[in-house]
Amino acid sequence: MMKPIDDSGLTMPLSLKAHHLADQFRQQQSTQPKAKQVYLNTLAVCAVNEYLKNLGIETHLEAGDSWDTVVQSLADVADLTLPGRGKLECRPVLPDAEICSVPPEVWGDRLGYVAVQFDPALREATLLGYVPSVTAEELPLSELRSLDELIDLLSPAPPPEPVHLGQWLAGVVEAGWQALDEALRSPQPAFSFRSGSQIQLQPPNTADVVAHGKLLNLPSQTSGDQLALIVGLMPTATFELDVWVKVCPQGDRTHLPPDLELMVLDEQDTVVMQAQSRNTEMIQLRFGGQPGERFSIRVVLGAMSVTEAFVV
Amino acid sequence: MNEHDSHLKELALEAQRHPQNSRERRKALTRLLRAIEQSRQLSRPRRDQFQGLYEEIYADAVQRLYAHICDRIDTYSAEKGEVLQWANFLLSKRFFIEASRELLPTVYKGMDARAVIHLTLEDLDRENPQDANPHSRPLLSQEVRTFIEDDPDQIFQTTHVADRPDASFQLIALRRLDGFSWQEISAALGIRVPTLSSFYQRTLTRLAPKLKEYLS
Repeated sequence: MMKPIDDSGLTMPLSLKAHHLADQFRQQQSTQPKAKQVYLNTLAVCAVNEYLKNLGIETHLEAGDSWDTVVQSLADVADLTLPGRGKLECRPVLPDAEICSVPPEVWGDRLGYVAVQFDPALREATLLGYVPSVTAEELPLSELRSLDELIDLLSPAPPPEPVHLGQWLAGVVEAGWQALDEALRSPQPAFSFRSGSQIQLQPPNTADVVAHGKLLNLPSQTSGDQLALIVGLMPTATFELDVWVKVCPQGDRTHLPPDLELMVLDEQDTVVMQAQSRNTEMIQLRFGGQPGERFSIRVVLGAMSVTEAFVV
Repeated sequence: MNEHDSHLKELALEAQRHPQNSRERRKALTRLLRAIEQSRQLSRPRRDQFQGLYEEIYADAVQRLYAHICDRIDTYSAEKGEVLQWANFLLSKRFFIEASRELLPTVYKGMDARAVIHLTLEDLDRENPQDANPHSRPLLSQEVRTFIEDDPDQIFQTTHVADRPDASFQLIALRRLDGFSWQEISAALGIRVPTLSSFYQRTLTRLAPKLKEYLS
């Protein structure tokens, strides 16, 4: 039995279906080396396809050049199409090989290259690992990265950690959020961001207020034309917190762009509050939040949007 | 419970802790399948049956088992027993039976068993499909070659690397079909391999539909 070269590979059985397909493609080739190449390429694509399907990653086998008997004849290709993402190249590796061959005709236009090693009986395929790009025909197997990195490439990014508002009251503030409370107590009602732009803030007139702001990174904005998101909170007589959310223009701007939307979403991502700018100076939403409650704030401008997650 | 069992259980519970399709669940499932495979403790049910087709049925059953483990890991519960007990129960009572029901009829239908049983690397090194082509019907790869050589619309000889009319798609394709390496073609033409291969790849993508249209 073949062993993976290290702990990062995964050995899977090769089904009769995969062999059957490989044989049909192989039968179209007129020389032994080419027929072998087509057979092994097909098995490699099937093995990677099976693995990705198991993990719930959508594939489209039939869309690949590797499934096209004309292209198979003219190129050494073992691509697997992932709809909406691109192609993964699945390169076959012989049982005792220490390199994976990656022909120049597949150097471009790939999300990455997965090395698939076979046993001599072609009963099993071991997914050894992957590389995001290649620059030579021979890839040493020692340069392969783990399947974990392939999973990172093909999986959605984990949702960002929510901003913990309860901790703001204790003075613990996440990076990227600028304290505004000091600025409020200073004679000039302005706060300088590191970038030099200024936030004008007029929250309720109370000493218990904690407010922090950050510049919004909406890609459609031109520089010097920025928007700031400000979140303020204040303890109430009950255990609830009074929370308000504001969007204000920054820099040279004195008014918000028209049709800017500010939304508050609950834990299920349902919009629970909404406000829209009509060329106003700022928009604000205000609500009560119980400790542990989660919500998100979304700012939408045209096709662009920014979402920030919070926990009270 | 031995150390191996507790490791497998840990991986199964780790996968359950993370949402479907999350990175962490996918990584835990990959580790779980690897640990199951490396345990060499998956059972081999009914070994005395299905002579000649046993390995094929078994491979299919294990593939179904792996798919089930990944898709339905949430149905595993530690109270039901060890992961391997759960997996082996599913393998022998469900997936081996499903696989044999699907694969056996293909043989009983009178198909040539040789055509069903898979090839090994040794077979691939020895056999040329053309030898097993008694009627000498033209193979697709030969038709492709003939069409590129004949080039009735003169597209393959007029599509070439920029400023190099001699480096045509036709010439490169025929050299590749003759078994020349990219280095050899590169040396003969004095054009770098990446330039040649990316030209070839792009042109092939563009012209493949025309080839298919002609050959269909």
